[in-house]
Amino acid sequence: MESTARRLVPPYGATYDGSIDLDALRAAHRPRILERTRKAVDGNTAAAIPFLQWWRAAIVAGFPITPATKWLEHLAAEVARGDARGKRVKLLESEHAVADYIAGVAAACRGLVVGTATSSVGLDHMTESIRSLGASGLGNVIVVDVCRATANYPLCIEGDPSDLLAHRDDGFIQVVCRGVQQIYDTLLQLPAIGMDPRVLTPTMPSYYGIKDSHRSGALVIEPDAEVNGFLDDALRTAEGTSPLVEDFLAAEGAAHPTPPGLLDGDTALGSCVTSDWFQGFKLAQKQRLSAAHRVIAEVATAFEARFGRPGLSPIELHGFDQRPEIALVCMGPDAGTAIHLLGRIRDQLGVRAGVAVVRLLTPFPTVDLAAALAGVHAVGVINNAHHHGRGHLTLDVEEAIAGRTVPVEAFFCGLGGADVSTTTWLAMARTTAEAAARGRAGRRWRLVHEGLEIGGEDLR
Amino acid sequence: MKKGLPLFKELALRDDAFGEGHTLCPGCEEAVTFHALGRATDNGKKTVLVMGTSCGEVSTLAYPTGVAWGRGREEPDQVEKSVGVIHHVFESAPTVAEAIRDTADLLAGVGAWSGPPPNVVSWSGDGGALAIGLRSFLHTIHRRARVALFVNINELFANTGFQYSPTGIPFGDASTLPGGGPAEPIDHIGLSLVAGAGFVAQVSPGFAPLFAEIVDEALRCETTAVVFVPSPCIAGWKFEEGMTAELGRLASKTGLFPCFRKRAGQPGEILHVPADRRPPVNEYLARQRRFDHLVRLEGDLPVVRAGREPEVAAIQAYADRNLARLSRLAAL
Repeated sequence: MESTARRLVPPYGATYDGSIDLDALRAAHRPRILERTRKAVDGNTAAAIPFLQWWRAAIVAGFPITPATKWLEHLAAEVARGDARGKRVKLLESEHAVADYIAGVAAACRGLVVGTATSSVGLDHMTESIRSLGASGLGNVIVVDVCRATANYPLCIEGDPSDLLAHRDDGFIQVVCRGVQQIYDTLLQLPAIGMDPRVLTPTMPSYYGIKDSHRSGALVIEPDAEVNGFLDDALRTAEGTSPLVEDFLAAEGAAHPTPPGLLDGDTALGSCVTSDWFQGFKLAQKQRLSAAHRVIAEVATAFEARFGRPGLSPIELHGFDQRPEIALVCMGPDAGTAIHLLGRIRDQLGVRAGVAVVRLLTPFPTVDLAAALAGVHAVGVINNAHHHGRGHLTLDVEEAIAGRTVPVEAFFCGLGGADVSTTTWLAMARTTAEAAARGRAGRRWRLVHEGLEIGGEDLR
Repeated sequence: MKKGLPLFKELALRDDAFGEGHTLCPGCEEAVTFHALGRATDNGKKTVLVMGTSCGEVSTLAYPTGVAWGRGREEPDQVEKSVGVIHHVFESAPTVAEAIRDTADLLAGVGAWSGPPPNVVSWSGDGGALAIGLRSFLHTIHRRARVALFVNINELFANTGFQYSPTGIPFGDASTLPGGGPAEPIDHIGLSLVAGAGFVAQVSPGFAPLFAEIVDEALRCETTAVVFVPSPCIAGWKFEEGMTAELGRLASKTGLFPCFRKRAGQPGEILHVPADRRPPVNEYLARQRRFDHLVRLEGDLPVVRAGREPEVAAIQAYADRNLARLSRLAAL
């Protein structure tokens, strides 16, 4: 073995510098994209390409599930076709095993990026392990969730985010994407965020099944050298100069380098603790997740500087430069229809509307959203997943504007990937405008389809 | 290559990786196993231990004042002496271990890991490996992962309060199955062989030299090694102090959990089961209060309670069949 040097990393143990030579892995990488390339791909492929480009993504793991399967098939085919040195696609017998496996890879060597893609019941099947990962500090884990109506009767293989929303408390940074470029660009940024020593939190990029997983679009693919340079630079910067989050065992401001891995360290992960200590771990977990807000902004800035496209923004704002009277808060691919309709809403309904598309689902961008909604007279929140009450998204939006008297109309539409038509958007905008005029919401919630309110509940 | 007592003596001189500060029950056989594993893995290779939730996890409950795992009081100077420990969910240990082996192999394949291949050890309870985790356990074997899978068999979900486990001897009392039931233990050795393990063994650390041999061979195995460790549970079985090792030996001698060793493609062997004077199962049962409703001790003699003869006979018949079955498996 090459000479190694023990470096104490309190309170985690020790790292043996030199025992893993990541430069050798970097040198083994065979670049696939040598110059900026434009290509028509679907969402699953756009989410798979970064794993081929990152030299750190030496191992990916998977188990097929509709509509995420093509992510795995694409990687398997590409790795089988090319020089497999330094790349491996691991097939396992179930999603639970996949989650266990990526935990092992990520813990073995924290300099690697390891990922998988799944959906719906697949994510549910991973839950036990995913929740451990969420608390693990293994920010080098990426679980791509291709949103699909989650396990419930009747079975539906089309996309709504009920799986993603059911996993809000898994401890992951959850980001919603729409369109292939946003999917690809988001993937490029997430390891820089998750692996930042202030964050050390795994990430869960997501996009709606079928509507985005199977829809092709033009994708600008950056060269491998730039993709890897961006991540390497971000990690180098974060490790060396960033402000440091205090660990619950360390003094405030103390060094907080990345903990040792199992192969190159003398350390323990996931030990059993008593309740006296458990809360301290949870506090540190919350602090790391909260730190993501600041790190996302830094990484997004660096991304835009390097690639010339906008970096990850917690929310997309459309029409907000027109001082909107009402705001429609939504997420996912159907937001595109709403953005396209902004002029028509103004012309037909006589109201200025803005569309706020939530990208960062967890941790929720409460402050950013509150600022964006500061001047509106009513908010319509569009929920695409079943919820017992006013909707997952509605609860977060209401928390963001808590203390204000702005009425919030809660809409459901697009459940199970149902079409959200122009008439539906117009109907929701009209209802929100009426709430603005009235000064209060009309109903507790409404289910809208093809412009018709087909269900709902009155306020008590 | 040393074997038996000379090997045991050699291992005894190595540095342990399981030290003071563990919080296992006093009298727990698992601690003896961990010491043996800790010394056997001091073999010039990096060690990674994967622990599925089980009794073993309790060994770290004194966090952060007792470390339990690690070679020496401080982090060792050499990576080859170091230990990486990961605790993961009940059923996961074999898969997580496989991932660590794959990572080490991939890094070695590109020159990023230049040391000897690490020891990768998976530790599960019988509930974790053979009930909730049977899928994970069998598929890691099926993929021929080069890991050593150790399964602690105490016939209960001991960690959570002594609930029934599918490795339990019939009619043993369990908190979820008072008085026990008629189901015989799952054929864990047969399943491992059929799934494709390269090395399958069953041994209690009560047979210390053999235990040393088997651990050493499991760590050297070029494919999946599986070692079942029958492990008397002082808290769950409710036996007298000082009986831990003796009960481990009796489990083998009676034929209930015989020592067994088989390498793929070679004849296997059943060990430590006396051919001529095999003790009846009630010698074993009578020393555990979980069978008190069937057998009790009068002085040093087991006495079957009136009316419970059919259950004891059924357990004896199982032990007889178990030996016959293992003989057939050994011949595969």
